[in-house]
Amino acid sequence: MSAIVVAASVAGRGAVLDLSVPAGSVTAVVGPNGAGKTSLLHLVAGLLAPTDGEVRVGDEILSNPRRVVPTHLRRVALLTQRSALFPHLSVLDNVAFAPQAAGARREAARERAMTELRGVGCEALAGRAAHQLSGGQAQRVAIARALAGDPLVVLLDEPTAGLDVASAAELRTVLAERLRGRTSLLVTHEALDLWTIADRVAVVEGGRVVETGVTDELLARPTSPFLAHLSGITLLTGVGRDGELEIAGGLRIQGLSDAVQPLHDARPGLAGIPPEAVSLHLEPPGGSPRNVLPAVVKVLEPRGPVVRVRLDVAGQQVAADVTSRSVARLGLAPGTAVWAVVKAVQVRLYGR
Amino acid sequence: MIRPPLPRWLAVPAVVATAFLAVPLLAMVVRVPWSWFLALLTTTSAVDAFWLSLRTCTASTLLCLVLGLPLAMVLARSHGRLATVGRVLATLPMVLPPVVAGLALLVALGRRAWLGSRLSLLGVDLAFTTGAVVVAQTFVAMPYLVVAVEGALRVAQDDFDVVAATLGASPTTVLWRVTLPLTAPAIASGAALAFARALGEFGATLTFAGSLQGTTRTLPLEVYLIRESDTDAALALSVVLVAVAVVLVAVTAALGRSWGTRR
Repeated sequence: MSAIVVAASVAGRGAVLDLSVPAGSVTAVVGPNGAGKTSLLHLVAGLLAPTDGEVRVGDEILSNPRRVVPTHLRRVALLTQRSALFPHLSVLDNVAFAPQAAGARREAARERAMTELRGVGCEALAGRAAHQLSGGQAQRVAIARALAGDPLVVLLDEPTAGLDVASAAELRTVLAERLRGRTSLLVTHEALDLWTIADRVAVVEGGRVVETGVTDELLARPTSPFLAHLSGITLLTGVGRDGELEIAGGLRIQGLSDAVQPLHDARPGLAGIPPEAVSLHLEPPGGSPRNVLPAVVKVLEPRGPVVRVRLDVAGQQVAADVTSRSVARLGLAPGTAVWAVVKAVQVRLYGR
Repeated sequence: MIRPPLPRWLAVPAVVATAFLAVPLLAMVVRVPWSWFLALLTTTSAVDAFWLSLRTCTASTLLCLVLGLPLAMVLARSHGRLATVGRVLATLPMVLPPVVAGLALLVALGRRAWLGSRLSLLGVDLAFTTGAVVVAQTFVAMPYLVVAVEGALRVAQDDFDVVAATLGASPTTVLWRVTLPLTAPAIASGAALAFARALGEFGATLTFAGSLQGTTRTLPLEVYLIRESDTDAALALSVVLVAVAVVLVAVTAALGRSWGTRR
């Protein structure tokens, strides 16, 4: 396995991308649409040429402004949202395609293909035609096909998008198992993909890699609004005052300062509030150290047994998860003024 | 879904159009002396013309494939002014009067012509030979293949070639194992159309290749030659040409359908 190092810009797309993927790591690439995630994949696959900088896999320079190694010589597998199985080949021959392209004999290639199909639990589908597979099956076969070529690097562009919940869950299990220890870049919009498949996360925004780190650490204390959104945590921005975070309207948020990235006085900071830690009241309650924030209900989003209530707190958005029963009892509707209450120990304060 | 209907009166011109297309063909079928149909088809000149047409059309269809397929592939991937010029050139013979095409070939490849005289020095005399028939047919038939294949390649938007490259397939491997198999139905239907066009070729062949029995006189030329002296034989040969055309069109339509279901 080889590490990926991208330090390249693409002038036409306004992308200046800087990212290292350690050998054997599965790095998830997240970010808003149009941020440059797919450009990143295409740079590594050789489908996009850098106008400056270079792309390396292992010790080899694959792209720089003077030379772009053709895609087929890179040993970089690409898996897209549409599995793109060849419609004129059986499932087995689809998976045997890469070994055969590499010069393996038909029988040896098919043997290898069978092994890979077993690896994704699809050996029973070997004789089928591509159009006889469900979306989830097709994606699993596409993984087998990609891995049968012994790629140095695996690139995945939203592989679980467009699948139903059960198929996506199944695919995640397969991906987690088959990608373990292979250098991979996984573009995704799904928080679940991050937790189950990736060990590292890179956040891409506005054509830049703005943050990278280990999945668990980054999602536990998200410092960018995008990551916070992915992990479901609300972030409030403000300034440190006496160990608390002062946000607009002079409101103070109490919480526990983060050990790695502590909040400093008179410096910009963030408060991370998990939606399930927020309770809503029509009258301000008393009691132990709590944050009691005046809020206005903006939107109610039913999510199974709970309702996610999006609140406006001094111009910033805060999410609260409450039961549908309390929504009814409090008579919550867009425009209702409420008090959002959060225990201080459930709020984390970061410096920026 | 029940779509809002077309206006009823539209049926009248539609029926007229159908009759317009069908009546001449039916009239011919009715006029053919069916009792001695076979005898009419087995005269020496008819048999000569039949075999000559079969041989030349097969040769020109193969030539269309060998030359037209690469052209279609290059055009499908090209942009810009040069590609536009190429595309115009590749479709021009479709709309050109065949006699003009024949004249152009004669001016370029005739014995005393610029290119023809040079070929002649190499021992290749094209004008008024069976080879000239193949050249004339290929010239007018190739656009049908190029247009059919280029169109199919352009709408094949699933990036199978990209996927194949990421699986380590070289451009040549992609061509043989992915692009050609995936466009096979379009290639086959394009080839069928080209064959049909070559079979019906008249003007360019007459101008460039002449009308020599067994050498350059194909079925359409034979029909034209005997249409007054031996109308019955001309009609019998025409019916054969119609039958072949019907089969080719049916094959093309069937290929179009199978292609539709596979996508």
